[in-house]
Amino acid sequence: MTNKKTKIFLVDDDIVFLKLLEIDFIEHTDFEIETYVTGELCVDNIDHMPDIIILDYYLDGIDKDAMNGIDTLDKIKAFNKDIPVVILSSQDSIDVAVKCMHHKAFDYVVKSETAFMRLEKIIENVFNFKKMEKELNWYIGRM
Amino acid sequence: MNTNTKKIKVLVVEDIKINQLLMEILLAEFGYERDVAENGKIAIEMFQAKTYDLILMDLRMPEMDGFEATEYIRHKLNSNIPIIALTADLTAADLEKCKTVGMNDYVAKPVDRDLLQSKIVKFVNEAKLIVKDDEITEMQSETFKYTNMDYLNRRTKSNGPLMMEMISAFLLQTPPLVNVMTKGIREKDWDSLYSAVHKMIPSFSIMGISSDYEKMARKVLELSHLHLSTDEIFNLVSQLEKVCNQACEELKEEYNTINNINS
Repeated sequence: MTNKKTKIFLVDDDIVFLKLLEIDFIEHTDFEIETYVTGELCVDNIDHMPDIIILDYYLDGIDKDAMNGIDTLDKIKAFNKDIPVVILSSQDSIDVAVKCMHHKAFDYVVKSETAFMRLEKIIENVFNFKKMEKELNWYIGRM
Repeated sequence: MNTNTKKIKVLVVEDIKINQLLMEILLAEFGYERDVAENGKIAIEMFQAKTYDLILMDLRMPEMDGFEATEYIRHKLNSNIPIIALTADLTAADLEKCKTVGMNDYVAKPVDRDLLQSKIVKFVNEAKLIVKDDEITEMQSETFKYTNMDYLNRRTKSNGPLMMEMISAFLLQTPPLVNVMTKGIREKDWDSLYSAVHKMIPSFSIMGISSDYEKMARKVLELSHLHLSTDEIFNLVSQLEKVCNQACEELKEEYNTINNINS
């Protein structure tokens, strides 16, 4: 087992929210955090091997040519389908949620005061899930 | 025993009986002393006869309304006593007027118990501080501000450098968004207008900008879907523009203050 720190990418074009989230993560967790203000930058740096990506849904609001959240998600999944991606969205809409799930997002969180707590919980679930998957594979291998 | 536990004295200026009672009940619960005046004129008489720590002022009253009374207290009596407006339906024009006549803040009716209490405590404490170092602080007119640092203080545990980073992010992001917003409405580019306002909204609560403005912004989002240049949307956008510009000014000052404390 290597003792490498868990690496998390935070991707949002709202730099105020991005900063707040970064502060929350740095203050309350021991993860290594990298922040990106566009989907393009996130994809360009995907070889930094993040363990989890927190990705804003609405990345093409101001810059119409910017890559949107779903396209970014697709690119991440094309690179490595096992990187869990959690989508952040400021609007709580079932359409957005369903779309995220269809594109293989791990989960979907609405931006609010409690977003960080939700993310913490989800990240914990990601690790539990990965552990169980690993154990399951081990048992299947021995059957 | 702490000698500072002297009871807070509040003057309630309110013409409607049931509202008077409601405020009395709340203030009694907080453990404050309170007197009630039925209109601005009576309030001024009572204010001159007795010492109070804070005034809760209804806006619309017979004889003399809250604006006139506040103006009188500030300019004729030269008092800086904290005055919080009580208001049922606050319009942007009212808010502007509250600010102009020198009110410190406002609380919407029906009054939220916790909010009222926290505001009273805040202003009474601030007033005490001002009195304390009277010589060094030239009476900074504690007038109406769009922003406050409560949320950031809480979230960063009053960590100066982190607060400065947050303020920088806001100052970097907001002016371009305001430009996109105003250009959007001028050129009827409803998508850009929508996107800019949409992106502004999360910053509001972070910087302590009143939820009334957040509602205003959400109304703009709603109206932008209609693709119509109405007076309403124009007014709302120009309000938002003003709020954002003013907020940036306030936050620049805030940034410098924190910077000075930390250096």
